[in-house]
Amino acid sequence: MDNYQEKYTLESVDYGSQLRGKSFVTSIGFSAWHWHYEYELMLVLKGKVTFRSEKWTGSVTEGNLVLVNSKELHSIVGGNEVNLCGFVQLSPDLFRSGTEDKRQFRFFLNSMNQDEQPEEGIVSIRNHVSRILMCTLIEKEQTAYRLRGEMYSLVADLVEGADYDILMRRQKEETGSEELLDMIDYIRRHVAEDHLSVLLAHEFGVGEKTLYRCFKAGLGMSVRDFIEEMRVQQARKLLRTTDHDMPFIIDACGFGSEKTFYRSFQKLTGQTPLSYRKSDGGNTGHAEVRGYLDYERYEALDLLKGFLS
Amino acid sequence: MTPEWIVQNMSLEEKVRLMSGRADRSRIHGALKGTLSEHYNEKPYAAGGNDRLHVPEIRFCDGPRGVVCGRGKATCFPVPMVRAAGFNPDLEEEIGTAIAQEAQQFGANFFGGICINFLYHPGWGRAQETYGEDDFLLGEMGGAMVRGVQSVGVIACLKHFAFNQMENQRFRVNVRCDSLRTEREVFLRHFEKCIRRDHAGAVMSAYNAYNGVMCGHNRYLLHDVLKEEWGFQGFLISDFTWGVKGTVAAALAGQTVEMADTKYFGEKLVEAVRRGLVPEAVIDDAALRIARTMKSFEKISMESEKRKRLKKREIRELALQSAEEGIVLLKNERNVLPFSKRRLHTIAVFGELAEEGNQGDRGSARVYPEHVVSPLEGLMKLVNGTTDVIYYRGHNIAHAKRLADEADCVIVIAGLTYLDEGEALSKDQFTAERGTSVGGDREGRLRLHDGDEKLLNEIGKVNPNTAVVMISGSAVIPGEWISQVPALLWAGYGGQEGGTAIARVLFGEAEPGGRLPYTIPQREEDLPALDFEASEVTYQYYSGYRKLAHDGIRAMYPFGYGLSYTSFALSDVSVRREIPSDVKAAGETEWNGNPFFAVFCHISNTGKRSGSTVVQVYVETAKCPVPTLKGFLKVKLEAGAGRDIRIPVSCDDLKYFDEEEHAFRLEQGNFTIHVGFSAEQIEWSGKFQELHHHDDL
Repeated sequence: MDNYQEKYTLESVDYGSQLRGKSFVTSIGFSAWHWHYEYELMLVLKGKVTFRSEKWTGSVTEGNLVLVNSKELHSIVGGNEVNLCGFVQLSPDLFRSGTEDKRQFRFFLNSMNQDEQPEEGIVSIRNHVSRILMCTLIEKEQTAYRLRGEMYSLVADLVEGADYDILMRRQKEETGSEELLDMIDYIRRHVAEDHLSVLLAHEFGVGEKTLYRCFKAGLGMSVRDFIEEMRVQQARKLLRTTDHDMPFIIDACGFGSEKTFYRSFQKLTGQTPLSYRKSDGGNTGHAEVRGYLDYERYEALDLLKGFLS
Repeated sequence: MTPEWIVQNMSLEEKVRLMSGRADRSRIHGALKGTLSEHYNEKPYAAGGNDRLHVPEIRFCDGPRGVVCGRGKATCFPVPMVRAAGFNPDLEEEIGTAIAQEAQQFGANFFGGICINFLYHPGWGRAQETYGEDDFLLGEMGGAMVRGVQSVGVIACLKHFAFNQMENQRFRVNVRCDSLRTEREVFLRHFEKCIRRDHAGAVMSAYNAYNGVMCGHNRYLLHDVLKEEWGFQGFLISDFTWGVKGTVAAALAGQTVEMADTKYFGEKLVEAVRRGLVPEAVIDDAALRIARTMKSFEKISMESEKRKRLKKREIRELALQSAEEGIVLLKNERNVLPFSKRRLHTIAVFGELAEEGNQGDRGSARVYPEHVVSPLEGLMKLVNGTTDVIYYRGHNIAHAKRLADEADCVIVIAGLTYLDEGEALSKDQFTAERGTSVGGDREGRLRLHDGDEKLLNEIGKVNPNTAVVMISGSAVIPGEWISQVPALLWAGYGGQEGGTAIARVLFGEAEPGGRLPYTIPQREEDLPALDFEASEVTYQYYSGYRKLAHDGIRAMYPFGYGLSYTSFALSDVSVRREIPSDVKAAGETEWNGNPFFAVFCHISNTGKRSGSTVVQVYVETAKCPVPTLKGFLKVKLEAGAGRDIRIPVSCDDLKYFDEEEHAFRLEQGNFTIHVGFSAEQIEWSGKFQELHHHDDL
């Protein structure tokens, strides 16, 4: 699922039809910090992944489900063993009563977190997600209708069964967390620059301390660590998709020196840049399951049937 | 054509027809059960009428929080308990006029929504429908409603006559009073006042029995007390369907109209007269009362059509004003309230009731307005553009605490719905909805739901800017959480504009104008013992704040209590005789509204905001040895302003019922007068000597 990994900040979800939702099964290698307007339910079908978000970090194991809220920053990282994850993405429009409705639902739904279990249990929502994923994998004309129905009724299930709060933002004025999203966007666009945190503080008219607090509060990490992660992320992309040499990549990703580059890369990926490139991003099983990898499709279907039985 | 002439020229069948409801029983029940597409009283229920002799038919519409008829048209006012908290009879009279105008738009000429049953115990399921636990307040508010409704020619009907302050057993319970004084002074005086002073045109008999006889057949109540002693000129109607259970018994007792459909009157009554079981004179009396009332109100109605009518917008403003005036500020430590929207960036709102347009009971009192503003909508609209609002139902305490911690202030909307209290109508309908028993009385559960209590116990600790807004029909006793929470308001069921009123009061765009029309005791045991499931009960003389005073117990929040965003001072209090002493002649039949004495004082707003207060006069005598409300005045003052006020106290309100003489009497001797801001906050006390002809004290 390439676009999932590459558009690491604002990910625009292409619905591909009039349906205001999307679903797919994929295996996750490394999906850096990103956010999207869509709500996203991730069901781990096999193996485990590490999930990080503004409010919770932990590993998500087979059979578990995590809901990512609209505009919630998060990242997902696969481990050494093979994993398979199903995703259902729902447009925020599905939760609104009209264009004037400014309410934003923020769900608490994470089967790994004792605090975010629905009162009625996770099973019915997991089954619902499983059914949607099965529709996705069975490429028949009729299932498109079933898919549409299931998506809409999942929205109802969530509102009725899961716990949530509703945020109603004041108009116009930007809030703290929207500003954070803008900052992250700025970092993405200026990842090649030196002294990025200084530029960032200057651009947003805030002090370094405020910047630190803002990132710490929103992401649980320092702005320095975040920039480092963004640089490595950019480097991975260039290593995987281009033939540029190392000095070019070091420069394009804003690493001040070769030494910093190697140290950071090793630290965050557990590989050297060269071995990463050789293994094609270590990425044979990372593509979205779309029929051409039939054995994975069948495996996913079997796993889903298992959940449903 | 005088009413007398009309009745003389009617056949027996025509006269009996005047006495008979014409609604379709199965449709009423279907509507109440929700099995029909129309709701209860969607159109007025017709009764009586005679085209030949031009007697208009009765066209009944229910209340009391507005007109029940129609869909999306009527205005839903706050419930009477909230309006009672406003202590503002002038506003109540305007609301009465507005309600009557809307009733006329649906073709109705009869408003059956004036409930003035004394709140003996706050657990009564329909507490919200009445004006509180004090007979003087009931008489003032109920009387104002009668005057307002009747000013445009709609007949005001008082209910439920009498002793109807229990819901679950309302069809079965037999009520007794421990004494005639209890009966007359506590439970009937306000009915008497609304009839003799305000000339209510109709009275609805209750379902329950009194002294062993069901009220609809109770000759003592309907004939002896109401018609003979009080000189009532209007007519009676039975409470619907089960209010009359026998032809002869009801007719002989003085029942005049069987509502809302006819089962025992109609042909059976004609037959009973023919067989000599019911004298025709009884029918003549009933027919005359109906014809006289219908004709005279028809005339007022036609005359009033020329007068200026209230506009829809004005009526909506009345609904908002009364909701604001009814909000009682019970606690406000550190002046946490009012919140300032400029200083707040994030507000967390908790509680399922926040998103509910909670109008209260969904029985026969349900109004179907065009819109209902929920507290959340009210808040969002008020802070729109300046503040983020996070709403969370509050199921998970950990989330709630985190959200509370992150927010600048927390507003919790907690309380009750129609599932907790209300008319015990058709349980089937509700059980299908929720799977639990619903509505009815709140015996032994004057607390919030456990979930609300748990949430409040935790939230108050987290955020020091927490305000709790209580929604209920009467007393809810706060649990331990009250020590954690700095601000508490009671907003009741505020009607269609209730959410706007809550938001405006929380943010200081309106002041909390309400004072408690009921006592919030420390413990439910401090109240009179009442078994709501009993088939027989005896009401005692002391209840509410009078019982607490009698037992020497302090309330958690006393009757008449309510804080303000400003402060008031009372000074220069004096009591002066208003009329010569010849009024002490006992047993007068006319309601003597003349003041016996008046309290004069100066009231000033010593704070920094404009606001209102209610100056209350309590009187205690040898016969009534606990301070009892006998006068009040709501005063609105700008910051720093002051005013001299006069609060008259009338003879009739002061009298006690002499059981030997069987008449109300004015006592000789000392009257101890207390002036203050609640039953327990007395600022001035003094004696008034009836025998010495002092002009001043």
